[in-house]
Amino acid sequence: MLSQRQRSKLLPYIYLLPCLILIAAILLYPVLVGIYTSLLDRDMYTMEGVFVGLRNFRRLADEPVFLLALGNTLWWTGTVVAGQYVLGLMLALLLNEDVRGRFVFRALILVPWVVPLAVAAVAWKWIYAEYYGILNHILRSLGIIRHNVAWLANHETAMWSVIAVGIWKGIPFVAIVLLAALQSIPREEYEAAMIDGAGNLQSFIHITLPNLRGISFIVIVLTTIWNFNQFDLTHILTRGGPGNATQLLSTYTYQLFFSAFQFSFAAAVAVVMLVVLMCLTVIYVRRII
Amino acid sequence: MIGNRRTKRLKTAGVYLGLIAFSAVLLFPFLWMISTSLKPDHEVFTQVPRWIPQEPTLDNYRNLLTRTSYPTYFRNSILVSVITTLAAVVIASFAGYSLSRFRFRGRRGVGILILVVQMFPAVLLVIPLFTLMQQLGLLNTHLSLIIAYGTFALPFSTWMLKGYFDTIPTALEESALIDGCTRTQALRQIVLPLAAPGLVTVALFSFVLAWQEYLFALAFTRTEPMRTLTVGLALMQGQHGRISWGEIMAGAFIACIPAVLIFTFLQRYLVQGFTQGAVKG
Amino acid sequence: MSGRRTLRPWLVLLAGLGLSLPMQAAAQTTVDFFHMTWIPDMIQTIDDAVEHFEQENPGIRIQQTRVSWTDAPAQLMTSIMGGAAPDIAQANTTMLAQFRAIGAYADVTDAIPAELRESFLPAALAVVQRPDGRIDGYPSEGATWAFFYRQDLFEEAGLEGPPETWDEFVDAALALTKDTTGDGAIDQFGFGHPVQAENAVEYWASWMQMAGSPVVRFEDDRWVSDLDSPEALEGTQFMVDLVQEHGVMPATIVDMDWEDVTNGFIFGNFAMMWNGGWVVGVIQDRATELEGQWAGFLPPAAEGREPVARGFPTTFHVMQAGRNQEAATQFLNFFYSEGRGNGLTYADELALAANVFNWTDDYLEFAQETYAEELQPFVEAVEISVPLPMSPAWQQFAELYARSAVQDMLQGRRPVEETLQQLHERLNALHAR
Repeated sequence: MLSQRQRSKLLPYIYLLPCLILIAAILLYPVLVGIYTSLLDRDMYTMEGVFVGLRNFRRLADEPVFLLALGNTLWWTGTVVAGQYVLGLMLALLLNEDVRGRFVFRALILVPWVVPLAVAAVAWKWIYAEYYGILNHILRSLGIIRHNVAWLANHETAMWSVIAVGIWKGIPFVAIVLLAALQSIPREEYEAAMIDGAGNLQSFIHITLPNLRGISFIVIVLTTIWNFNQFDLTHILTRGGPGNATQLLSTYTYQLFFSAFQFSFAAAVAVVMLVVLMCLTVIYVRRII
Repeated sequence: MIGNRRTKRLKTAGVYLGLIAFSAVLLFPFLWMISTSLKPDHEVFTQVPRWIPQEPTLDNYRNLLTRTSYPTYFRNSILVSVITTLAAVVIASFAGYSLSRFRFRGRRGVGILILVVQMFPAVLLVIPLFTLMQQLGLLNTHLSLIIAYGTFALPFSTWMLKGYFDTIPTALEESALIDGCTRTQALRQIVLPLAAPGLVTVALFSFVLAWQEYLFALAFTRTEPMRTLTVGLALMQGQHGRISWGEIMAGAFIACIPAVLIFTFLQRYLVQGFTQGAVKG
Repeated sequence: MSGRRTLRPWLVLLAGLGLSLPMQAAAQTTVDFFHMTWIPDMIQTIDDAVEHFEQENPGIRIQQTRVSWTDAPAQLMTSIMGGAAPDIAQANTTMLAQFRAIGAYADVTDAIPAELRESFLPAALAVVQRPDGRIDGYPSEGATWAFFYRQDLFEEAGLEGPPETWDEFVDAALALTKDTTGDGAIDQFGFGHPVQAENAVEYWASWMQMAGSPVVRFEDDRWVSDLDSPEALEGTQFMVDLVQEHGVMPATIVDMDWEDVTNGFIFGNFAMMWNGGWVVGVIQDRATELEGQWAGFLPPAAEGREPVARGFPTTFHVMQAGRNQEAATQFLNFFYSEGRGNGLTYADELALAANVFNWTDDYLEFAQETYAEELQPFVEAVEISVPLPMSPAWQQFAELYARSAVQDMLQGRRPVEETLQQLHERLNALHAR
């Protein structure tokens, strides 16, 4: 039997154990397989593959799409994360207000998050459609545009159109998480500030924002990771087109892996993605743990 | 005083305006989907977009529920999502509590590892996990999905709950521990009720994750009786030919209901009063 | 003390997990059958065939897995690599070539009854026959593609009948391209075909085939690209000119799939289109007001050439890695010989349910006799149809390089000759692997 002391020393590990076992088996193990694969020459012809060192990484230079997709991915991730966070925060603040019917709004705004993405993407395609899409119809009747715009077919508009859908999809999640955080800010803090004569804006800056900091870090880090890896939206909406205008590293990896069956090269791209993401996020993570 | 009331009324009006604007944009595609689900086939595409169907019909819903396997898909998704949610919440509570309350060797490493493992594109995980499930004899079971989704939900859930636990003062538990409670009792009876908003968020997140997932559901399940909603809806889209968009949109509409309904009931735990009461009590 | 309490949620979980485990099947041969059907009547046909077969062969159970078209290659590869390959799998043409190259399909030359084998149409045999002459698949339901035109718009433009050559085609398209609303933007284009996603490469390949290029050739035991041939250039240039030179096809076509183009045709945005035979049924369903105002026609011929259409069967394969090849073959032979007693086999019924063809000469005769007037050009197309390039690298090439290149060329962002040369090198580099 363990002594009380030994037990309490082990306790943090015991609490973590189920989580760690699952993560090790279901996430860490395949990631390690992936990293190992990136050092082989495994593809559909050589399913076993032999060790080739960093050859796959050197090949990245030969594929102009890679750099293009990397640039697009940074652009996509930056704008989507920023859009989701800013709009999500605004929505959370609104939902936190003490008005009648807020419960209805809180439930309704979940829809973009919970609707099956493959179907929602189809609805978006129709909305964006050049000739019969409702977006052009509305903009035309408001006099904002004169001629129909092919939102997903023009190089100038395709990426922004996809980004808009990405932001749309993520707002509810950010809003709900931040709402939960807003709800746990003790009301006394605001009351004390009011007595001190602080206005709404001041309370927001001095009470709300600092209280949201911890959660905001987590939300931003996670939405960065998810959006960086998001592939199905673009895959369904444009398949990376027109040309490579909306090609992301995630869609590129998908094509390499599941259409071209170039397993090792796809894994090399994935490893690069992992490294880039780590650079982007670990700086933040170190501050919050 | 009057000025104060007016600003208050103005503010309320502003809040409503904001909420309505947000809902309008967020629900826009969804309303279009509902509209489509009520249209007969020949009205799905019209030269001038039409919000209100000329010949509204419930045929799409009737066909979906009686002539397709949709009810099976729906039941499977509920089963998988509910169990995933329970598993993720329980496991993440312990893990998050551990990261929040204890200072132990490897703590930071574990925290970062949990984040880093989800930075790899999911498409590369499919084959290794498929192989694993095949070796465990779990192919074409819901258990394989529950294990996978439960794990995918852990990074967010653990970090989210750690963040919540961090905001809860340790004094309460400490006095409980002195009173002879075990750690687990303190966690369950004192910390978890205080973290209700976090638990609600994590539960909702896990549910939606399991509800939405497609890639692994497609790979791990094989026969019609085991398929989940997203896969079922994707299979209905087929390649080309007479795709019944009305039915698919009806299916997507119905698919939104459970999460919205669950959240309608759960959201009272987001309310401050619950935690406040516990703090005071 | 506390240990027992914390156990409770786990017990609930375990109970739930237990419930979700499926029943174990009785000990008998189970044939795993991957297919891509989604139309309710097609699903019913396969269900009926399976039930019928299981009654006659009590020792064999057929376990169906439906996979989506777009995900079928990924699904099949995952299953093979994960050690759970199906016994029978359905394939489309580009996927077929890819999996054939890795030896995924069993040789069924001797397993197919001679009578059935002889009934395969030449275009179908071209798909299921390996370069060495062995057969590794059963041709199944598949579509043909042809052109459509709006008779009302043709009359309006003073045109008679559909064009038969490329020159006539361009002239007609020019006459049909106009600004009908007078707002300064063209809203009626002479022509359109799908270029979104995988469509880009499929239609591009067909343009080259119409110009006389085989796109890829099998020579000296290996595949080589034909993209550097004058014919490939001619076909590609013709396609790009429709947008860049003549302006009869909009540059925004790159985001349109078959359904967008069909809608554009119905709404009068395209006076002619190139699309699959299944669209006939779609137009009939959705645009009753257009009845009698439209028809299909065979693709116009390039200068000095015979017309060529696109068309090919999907295929069923007995998998090399499957554990029950014998039972699998038995089922497929059953599927191609038995039926519901109306003179059609289950394989025939499957094609009929999708409004396409089963690629046997019996079925062609049946289609010629019974298919509606509007579908007859598509029946005719069967005999002049050519499959997509059968090179094992084609799928990779299409997804990684060609799709974006075709879209860029159509939008005038990349020069045709230079791009073709680059694509030629890319394709041959993939062949060299």
